[in-house]
Amino acid sequence: MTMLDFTDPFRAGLLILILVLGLAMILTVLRLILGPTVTDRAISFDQLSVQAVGLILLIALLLRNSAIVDIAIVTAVLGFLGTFLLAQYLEQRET
Amino acid sequence: MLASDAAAAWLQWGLLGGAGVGTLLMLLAAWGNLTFPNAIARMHAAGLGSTLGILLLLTVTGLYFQFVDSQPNLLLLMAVLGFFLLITSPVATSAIARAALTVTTSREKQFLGTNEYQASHPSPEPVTSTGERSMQYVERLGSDSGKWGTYDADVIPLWVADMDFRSPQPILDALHARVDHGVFGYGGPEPALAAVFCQHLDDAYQWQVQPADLVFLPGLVCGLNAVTRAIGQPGSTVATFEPVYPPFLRAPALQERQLQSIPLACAETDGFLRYEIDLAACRQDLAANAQLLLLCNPHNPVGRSFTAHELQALAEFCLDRGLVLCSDEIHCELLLDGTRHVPAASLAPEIAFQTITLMAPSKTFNLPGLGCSVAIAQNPELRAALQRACEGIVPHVNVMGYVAAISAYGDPACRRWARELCQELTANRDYVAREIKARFPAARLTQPESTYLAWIDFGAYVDNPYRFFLHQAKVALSQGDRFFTQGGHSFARLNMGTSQALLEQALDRMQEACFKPTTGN
Repeated sequence: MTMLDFTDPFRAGLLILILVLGLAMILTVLRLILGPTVTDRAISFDQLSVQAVGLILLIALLLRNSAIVDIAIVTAVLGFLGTFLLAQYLEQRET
Repeated sequence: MLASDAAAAWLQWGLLGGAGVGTLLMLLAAWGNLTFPNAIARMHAAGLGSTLGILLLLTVTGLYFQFVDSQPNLLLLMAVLGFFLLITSPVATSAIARAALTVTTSREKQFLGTNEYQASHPSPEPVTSTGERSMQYVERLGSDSGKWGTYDADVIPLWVADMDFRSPQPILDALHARVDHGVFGYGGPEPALAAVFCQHLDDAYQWQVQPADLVFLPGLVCGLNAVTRAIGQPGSTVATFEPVYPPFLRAPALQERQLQSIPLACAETDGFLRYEIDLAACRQDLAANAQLLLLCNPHNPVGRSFTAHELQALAEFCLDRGLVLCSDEIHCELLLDGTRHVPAASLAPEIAFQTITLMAPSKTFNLPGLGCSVAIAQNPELRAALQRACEGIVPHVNVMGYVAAISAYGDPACRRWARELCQELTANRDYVAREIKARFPAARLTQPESTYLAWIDFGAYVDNPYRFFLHQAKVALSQGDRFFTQGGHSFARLNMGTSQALLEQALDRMQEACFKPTTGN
């Protein structure tokens, strides 16, 4: 892997997008911490997992490494399973 | 594959633009999740915005690797992942929504609605829902109400001291949530209630009480009897002031004690009866073996809220004579016209040391059927004696009573409701006073400072107003002589905790019965 060339406008643009998505993730983490209900936290967890997939895709583009895309796929699957199981657990706990 | 470099460069810029739109959509979704007012609304932002954003990013990635970086099958892979997310995203969101609907704690229910936005953006005038704005009269005939079920259906019941008003909505919500929990096992120690109650005492009376000082009881009459049993020995004297709520007069005999009832001093000032503690009579007459004084403050039935000055003098007398003071303060939040309540035990630590205070949310929030009361005994010896007297006889407070009491003392909306109730009761008191004076000019009555009880002497018209109005007017009042050890037949207690329309109807009937020419008693 060669050194990254950020004078390439395409890569510079991607870097900015990664920072923007990072900002979005910070906002979601804020809601995750603030709650106030378990539901808010479940929603935020779900959103965070989708954002993580997006972030990994942007990194794959930045590094021009399609192998990283596989990580995004695993993240998406785990995120969905996590959210779904969390929701199921909450429902059973309450009834 | 694209042949020309120019086309590749053009494609790159297009893809960057697509990725930019996708990323901004996800930022927008995160902003929505952070700022929307409640969980249900936040689901839209998170579900819709994020999904559209990620689909755009997937498309960009697939196209980029397929056409710019010349890696085969990436577009297909991205299409599969996109399809997967299109299915899983709504499934996950609806699973969360479904779970949210089964969330049972009232605190969480409140946040799921629109209230959280108001809570985090407080306006100077707190917004209340319509249920909390004013007292809601409920038709109780045919319910399990003792007040409405004891006499015939055509009798207007203005006797036993509960109200015909619906309890505040937060309490009803808390009870609903408790029912939905579905298990009604033994209740345990209730640290949450102890904490909110101690906080309430501090806020309302600047009275610092520790959770360990509290003994929860299923009722105040039970508490009165338990305290009577706990203090002194069989045969020792228990003092109280009459007229008074009948269980005060009954408790000593039930617990093998001797009752000494000292009359309250009564004077007529400004056209109203006013009762005061007759300390001179106490000093002179109180039996030497007296060990306990039962005080009702605010006083049922005479409606007095004793002043700090009066209480101080009484407490000093108790300390002087070594009397334990049992202060029943169940009506302490039904304060009319800005009256202030002073818990006797809050006056001084040495008074608190000789005092057992009884309180309950039942009168204020109309919950007597739920049976949750509390005794405050800051002296560990008195507390231990009380607990011993209760042992094996007095059951635990039922779990619904705990839930209601936590909401009553802990929820600011309930505090607001109580203030509105007091305004309404003040209006009822003034209405009844005006009407009694107009319709029965020779009757004598109190001007209650607290409680929703009017205490009226109809002696100028009838000998036994209870019997007369019950049979001739079909209005059930409380029987005056029950509040005295002897005499008192000409008095009646009238419960004003109901709608003014019903009060008017009752007064119409009473007036008609009293003044129609053929009336006999």
